[in-house]
Amino acid sequence: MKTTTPIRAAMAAALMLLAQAAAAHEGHGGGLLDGFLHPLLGADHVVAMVAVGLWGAFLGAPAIWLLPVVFPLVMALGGAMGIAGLPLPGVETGIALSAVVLGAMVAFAARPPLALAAVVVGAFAIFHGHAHGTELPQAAGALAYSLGFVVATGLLHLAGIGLGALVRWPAGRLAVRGSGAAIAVAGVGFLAGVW
Amino acid sequence: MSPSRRLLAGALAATLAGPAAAHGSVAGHDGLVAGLLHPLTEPAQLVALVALGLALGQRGLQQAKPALAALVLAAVGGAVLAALGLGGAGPVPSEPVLAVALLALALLLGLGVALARPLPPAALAAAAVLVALGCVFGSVPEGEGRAVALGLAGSAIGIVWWTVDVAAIVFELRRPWLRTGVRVVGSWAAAASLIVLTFSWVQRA
Repeated sequence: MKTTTPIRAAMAAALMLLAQAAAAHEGHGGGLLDGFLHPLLGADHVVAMVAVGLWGAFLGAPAIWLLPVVFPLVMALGGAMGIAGLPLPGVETGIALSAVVLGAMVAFAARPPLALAAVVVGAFAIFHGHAHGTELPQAAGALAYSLGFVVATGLLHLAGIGLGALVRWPAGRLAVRGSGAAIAVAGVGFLAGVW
Repeated sequence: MSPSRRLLAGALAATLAGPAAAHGSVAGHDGLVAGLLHPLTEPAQLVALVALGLALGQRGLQQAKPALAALVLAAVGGAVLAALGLGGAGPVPSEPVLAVALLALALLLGLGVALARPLPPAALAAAAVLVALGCVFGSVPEGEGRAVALGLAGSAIGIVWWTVDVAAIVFELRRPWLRTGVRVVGSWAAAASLIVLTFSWVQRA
């Protein structure tokens, strides 16, 4: 049997779609969709995740692909802390601060060493993961929920990376840095409780 | 319709399968087809199979051959043992325990994929055996006789089919960004598994 890569990819996508059935199979009410929507319905999560992708694009290879690999793993550690009930002070402040710092990094086109960038992003991943994790015990279909928010987070990174690809052109670079500035300003708004 | 398009149509049709109503069955399907689809409707089995497929694909066809052979043997052997009644006997852990074991394997395999450090061939073969047995014994349908045998046969085929398909996709990915995409998906599997393992541990404590 010979199948082409796109067809196989479509089949893999079909496999992933089946996870929705899996969510219902656990006998809970929420699951994949709830988890998927969780990061998307929080503006602070959305802008910070997009900023991770934008910054990765600015930093170039290998950061552009390293950060999306590292982030979910560290976020899971934060999620595990939240589930285990380990307190993490200032979670919401940390999330808002992540938008400020990551947005500023993009706005100023900061290029720290890769290890430092990974530490900065990883530190904020703990806060984001903790926030998702503390909501998990109330959430239905734990595995499907987790898969949902991890995948949604990854797709937000991808959105940032896609937008960050504009840095190849001078006008695009300006647009990306402007987006970073907007994210930082939004983060200040989150910190101040404006929205 | 070409075989590949038939396969695609089958996979897409499978996505329309409704939520499974009871253990070992998939709504609207019985016997062989229900068994075939069952690994896809159990989150822990699905994540473990995807993680195993990614790891096999990342390891490369040549070095993955022992693990592929082990996967087939364990899936078939496990189905035979389960059909003979071992599924209800003492030595086989309960389904929640099997699910936790599968998630632990998914975490291990996913981490290896994310870090681009796939397990050595022998360890990969051992992991394939454990994943196959965990999936088979977690898929024993309710009922008896022919229906159980057909369901288990479907599960054995499904376990091998879905894993090999994921591995085959990864085998063919050559571009660096696609290989990195595999690592990203591996990190997703590991992350979700870690969170749910912690969740299970906290619930038991």
